[in-house]
Amino acid sequence: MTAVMEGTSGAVPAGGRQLTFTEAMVEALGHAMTEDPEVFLLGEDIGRMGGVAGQTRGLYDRFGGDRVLDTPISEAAFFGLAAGAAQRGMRPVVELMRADFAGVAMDQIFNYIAKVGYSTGGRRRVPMVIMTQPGNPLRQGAVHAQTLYGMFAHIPGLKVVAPATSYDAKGLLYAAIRCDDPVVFFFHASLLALPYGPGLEEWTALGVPAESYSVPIGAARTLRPGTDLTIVSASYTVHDCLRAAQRLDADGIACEVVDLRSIVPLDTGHVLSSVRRTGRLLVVDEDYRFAGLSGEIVAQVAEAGIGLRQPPRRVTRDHLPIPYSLVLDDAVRPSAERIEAAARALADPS
Amino acid sequence: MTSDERRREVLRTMIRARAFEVRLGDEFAKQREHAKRAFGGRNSAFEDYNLAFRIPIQGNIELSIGQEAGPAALCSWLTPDDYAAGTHRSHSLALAKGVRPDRILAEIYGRATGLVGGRGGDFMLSDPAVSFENSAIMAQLTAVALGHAFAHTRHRTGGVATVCIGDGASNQGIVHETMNLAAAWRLPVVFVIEDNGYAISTRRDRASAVADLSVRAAAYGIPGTALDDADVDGLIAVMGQAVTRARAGDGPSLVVVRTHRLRGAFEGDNQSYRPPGELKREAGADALDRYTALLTGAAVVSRAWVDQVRAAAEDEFGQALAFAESSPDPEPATAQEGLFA
Repeated sequence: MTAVMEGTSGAVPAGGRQLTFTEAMVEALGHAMTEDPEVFLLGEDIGRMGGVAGQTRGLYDRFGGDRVLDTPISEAAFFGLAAGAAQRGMRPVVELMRADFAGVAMDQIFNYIAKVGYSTGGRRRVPMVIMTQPGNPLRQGAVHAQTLYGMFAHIPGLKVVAPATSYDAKGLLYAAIRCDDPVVFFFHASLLALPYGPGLEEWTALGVPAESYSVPIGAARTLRPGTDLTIVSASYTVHDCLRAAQRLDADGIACEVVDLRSIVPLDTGHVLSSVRRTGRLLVVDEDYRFAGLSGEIVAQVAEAGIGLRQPPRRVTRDHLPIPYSLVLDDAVRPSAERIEAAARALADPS
Repeated sequence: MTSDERRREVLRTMIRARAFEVRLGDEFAKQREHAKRAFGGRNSAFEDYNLAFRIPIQGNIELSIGQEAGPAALCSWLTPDDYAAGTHRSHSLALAKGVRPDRILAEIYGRATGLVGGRGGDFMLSDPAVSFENSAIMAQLTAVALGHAFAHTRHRTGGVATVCIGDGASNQGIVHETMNLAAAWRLPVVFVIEDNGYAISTRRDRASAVADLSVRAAAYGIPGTALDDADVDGLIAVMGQAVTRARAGDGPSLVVVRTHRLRGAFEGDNQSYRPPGELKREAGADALDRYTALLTGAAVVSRAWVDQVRAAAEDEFGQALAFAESSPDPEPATAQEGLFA
């Protein structure tokens, strides 16, 4: 860790026990599996291999092949399997290797898993976790880098969480497994090496307790207090927001950064209370701009009748398939620079 | 050898299902006729009903008249905890699995007393107490059945999971995924394809590469059998073998029931796509008539028994109808409840 810390911006890591995002996930899964024999993992390459990103590393050796099951490439079949088993007292955690692959299991997710609880008046419930990886630091283009938060959130009946830190990854994954509803847990590919990697900052190195704990689903958190404007985001882009806020602070612009952590249920109250204080709103969403999460947040603030000092702004991914070329991609996705520019324009419109 | 007791119960189940379906069809026809008159003779299926004018049965009704034998034979081997999943054409399966007809009808009427309180309707009938559900998404529940089978195995209950789909749905990709996974993990599943020869208007021989869908079982190394429901005793035996095999932990099977859809794909479907004479030939192949004749001829049941069972089934529907009609609508405010546990 010492070597990694050299050459960073000089920010001091927060104290406490340090785990990477994936180690935090493994710990949450380990706690849940130890405490409840009905918890089992299902997915492609999560067993012997430990997951393509190491997010289940060691669990196969610890719990055996009956609890950690490598599946064939048949997402529709094993999502249905999980949904059925969940209705008989089991607690499946299903991995969808990439969020992009939801397409092949869409009917099971959107027409069965999400709907059966409400549509049976609660006579059936589907307590399962869909653990899936959005984003991609390797910039692999249109079908291996989408975030799709809005698409999952749009269908009633799914809870959706998208943590930004190792602390929340562990607490939200543990809470998701214990939740009696289907929960989509997004683990962003660009976060998996936290707290290491370029740009180590104090907020990337929150301590992670060794014991099990739940982070409540549906509760946002203010990661940085400020008085001039509110920046709302989730998952990976939270870090870009914090970096931008740090730079703006040097120019006397105090940004309040709200990490949603959960997308469904959305902690609207937390967002509204911040915007009421600052009077300015910037929403940063790595997902597609059109008909998505960013528009929803702006609409909710507008409907609440909060008098804004400036029209709200959004920094999002453009409504386009993700281009492969890094140069093209940078032209259409959020970045700390675009966030900084948008925040500056909001705070000082002259 | 199938016991006479089981044969009687299968026939009783078929008679009950037939009475339910015929009477439901009659009710629906009356209601649509009423709607048609109200809308000046137009096809009421394209009118937007509202609180000021509506008929109790919303949507389409798909009847399983002619297809009662497969579900009756299958369910004669199942316990209430064995899972059974059906399609949009599943009233026969629901009744055979032990779902109460009054609760089914109340659900079709959208009433608070329905199986799921009016939230599902005919396309999402669901009764966890007898482990039954259906779905109008083609082949959707084949995958869900895997999970019930998986949990039965893990919990060592000795239970099995069964799922019925049509010949049309058998061409869905998920059927391949599911059969492969069930076979690879030796899960206790019985896959039943009710092959009535048509997916709405599209003939099986124009949609499927093989005429005998049971040969697909070979691709998964599992037993596959096809049988016409003219032979109900044969069907009972084949279903028994498949369920017994699953229960014993020997893995899944595929049973194809060659059956006969004696009504339209939905009520109001005039079936103009059928070649001349075909419907008449199909009606002549009605398994219920044949099996009734077989069992009365062999003195397994008497004519009086058949008449009595029929009368009881008619009475059962009458009571179900009275229950549905007199049941309240759900409270509008409750629409907001229960999205999450």
